Amino acid sequence: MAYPTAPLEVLGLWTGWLLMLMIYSYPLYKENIVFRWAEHTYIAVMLAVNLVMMVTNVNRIAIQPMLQGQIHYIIPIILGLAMYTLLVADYRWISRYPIAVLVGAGFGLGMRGVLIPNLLDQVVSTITPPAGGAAMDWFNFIYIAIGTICAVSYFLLTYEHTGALRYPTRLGRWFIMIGLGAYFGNTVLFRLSMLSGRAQFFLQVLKIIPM
Amino acid sequence: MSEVYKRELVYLVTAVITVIMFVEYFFLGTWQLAETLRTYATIIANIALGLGAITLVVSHAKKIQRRAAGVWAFSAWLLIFLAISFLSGLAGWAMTGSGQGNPMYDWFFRYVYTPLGQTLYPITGFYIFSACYRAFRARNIDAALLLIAGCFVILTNAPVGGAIWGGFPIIGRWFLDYGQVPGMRTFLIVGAFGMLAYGFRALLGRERGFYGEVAGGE
Repeated sequence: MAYPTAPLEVLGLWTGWLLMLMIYSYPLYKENIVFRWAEHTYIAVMLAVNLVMMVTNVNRIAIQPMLQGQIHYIIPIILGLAMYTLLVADYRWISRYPIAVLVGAGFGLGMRGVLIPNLLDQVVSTITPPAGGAAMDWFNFIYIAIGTICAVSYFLLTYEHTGALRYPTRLGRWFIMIGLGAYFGNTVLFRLSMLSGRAQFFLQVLKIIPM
Repeated sequence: MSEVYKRELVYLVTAVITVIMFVEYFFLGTWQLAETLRTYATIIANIALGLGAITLVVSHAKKIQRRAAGVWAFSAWLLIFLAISFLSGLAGWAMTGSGQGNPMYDWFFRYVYTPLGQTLYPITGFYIFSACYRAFRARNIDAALLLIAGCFVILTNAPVGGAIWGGFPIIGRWFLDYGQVPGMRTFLIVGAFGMLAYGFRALLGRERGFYGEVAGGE
């Protein structure tokens, strides 16, 4: 992408650059007026974008089909509007019905969604030995199998971690720590790469490096 | 009687919809009723977003009304900019049927919303160093294992690691492919059990916090 030449695009680029500096004035200095101004600007524009998306979505998913004869779409519209009774103390109980639909659909999808990929597949992967693998494959298989069993035993919260459970749970905590360490290492690099993207943008706007 | 439609019937609606989702998944494959209910939930969730907007507007309007020191001017700016950007987006939608139809809204989206979003998320990058310092102090075996795994992964993904010692990427790759698996797999398994337990409590009407009953709803 070349450096823009249209006045509005150049203005936009510099606006984004200035807003970035305003936001980073907080971690680099301390909370100040320009940071708070940029923060409130973000809240306003984010809410506006979401509201416009909401209007677009409701129109596309509910209102247009309803106008084309699928009259039953009036039900979710009424239920959605019933959410607003949360603002009126005497009629707040009405909002429980749309919440019930949301919670029912959410839990139904969530519960059925975790059964196979998060539970069965994970257990099967843990106990399936490598097919004629090399020594390293067997080492990794045993490491993962023992590690997973010990780490799961750490979450047996209804039993005190003493006696037979003492050493497996302690070992399990070490396996969890290794997992968290690797995860944290990935997170650190991900955040830093995003930050370096912003540093790149900073230099690009100043034309120090090409866009 | 009021208890029936204010509480029991609500729990029943939750339970019936949850069961419909199960029946579809385990017995039918696809079921139009379940599909319709999911669409209903999407519509309700979209409409409910306006509730958050109202709460935010009321909260900031109160600050302006009270002339809250050091705050009200920001609240006023928020409401003004919210109105401008929302109305411009709405005008674009009215003209083209899509939010991206008004030049002013497009400009806000491209040069205010996008750069601010890209800026705010990596702000944690500034704090990750102090988090590293606190997390990566080898005070005991647990912290030492965290430190070792974290350092190897960082030195694997950062090009400098391979330049320092060729073994860093090999060992780091092992941590990524196998070393972290028991911990992460455990989180998936226990998380799934947690989700199932919480879901069944909701199904049976034992979990009621999200209906607002705890927050003082009648």
